[in-house]
Amino acid sequence: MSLALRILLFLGAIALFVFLMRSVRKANMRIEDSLFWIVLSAVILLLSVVPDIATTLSDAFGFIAPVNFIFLLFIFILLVKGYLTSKRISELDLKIKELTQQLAIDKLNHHEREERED
Amino acid sequence: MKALLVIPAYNEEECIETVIDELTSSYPEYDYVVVNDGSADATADICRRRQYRFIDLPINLGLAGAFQAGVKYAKQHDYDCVIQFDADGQHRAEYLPALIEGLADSDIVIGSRFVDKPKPRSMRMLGSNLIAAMIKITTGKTIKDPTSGMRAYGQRAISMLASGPNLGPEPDTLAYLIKKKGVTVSEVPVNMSERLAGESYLNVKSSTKYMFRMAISVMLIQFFR
Repeated sequence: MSLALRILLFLGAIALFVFLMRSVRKANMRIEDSLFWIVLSAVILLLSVVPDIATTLSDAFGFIAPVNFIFLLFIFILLVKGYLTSKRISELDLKIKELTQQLAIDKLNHHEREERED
Repeated sequence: MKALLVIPAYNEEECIETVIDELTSSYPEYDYVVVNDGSADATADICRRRQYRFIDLPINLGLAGAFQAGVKYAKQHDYDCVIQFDADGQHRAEYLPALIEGLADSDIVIGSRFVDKPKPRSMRMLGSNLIAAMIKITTGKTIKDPTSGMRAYGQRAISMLASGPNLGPEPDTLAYLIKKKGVTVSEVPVNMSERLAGESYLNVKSSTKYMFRMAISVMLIQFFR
């Protein structure tokens, strides 16, 4: 793994971590949701500091260069994350729908009860 | 049978008064509830002013979510029949008794435009035929007008539709319920009017999306539900 790539990964990991902490501090991200990105930045940092990990795994799987292994690894990680995000959005949509319906039904029930009492 | 007409309304300020007034004056024996689906126009104001019974969704959920709100309300108030009825004047109340009678021996009754008449040739009807064919292939059941929006649901269907996440009032739900839940569906002949005002939500982009969704849902997803 070239020194340039290691520096790039290192800076990337640091930048990711800084952005992340800013989000958490400004309270627009829950700690639970930041965990994934913290682990990811730690993995990137580890790969840049200990390139032997990438080289060893890359050789084991028969990649021509460690950089290819790193690409594939990140594509896979992001694919999984994209799927989980999509699933989460669906769940949120459903929750919003349930809340909206119940709110509106309760409002009508309340209105009808008041009318009966009048 | 205690029947509730669920009337989803999204930006229907031009027709809602005519439709509801016609309904309450000619057919006062039917209960109804308008579901205002977060309309941006005066639909909610009209309902409030005219004291219509209406569920006022604070945000737009789309037809499936709006209709489901009505079904939930019906379930909570122990109705044993829900009828899906359009707010734009396309559906005619004179066919309500036939729909409700049909529930005596099936769980869902569709107000069908093509029981005894051939379908006109148009792009829309091509879509309708495609969906009918997909339902026939996957469930073995012939439904002549799967896209009709005028349907009656009995108690069993109400319980299912009130709580499921992917059970909008669409043809793929019919196919799923027939195939996986053993729900029985029948059709009674109806005629429909032209809409009073407003524009159909169908355009090339939305129809393509709709067809794609139906195809994937009926031909693929249904088997894994």
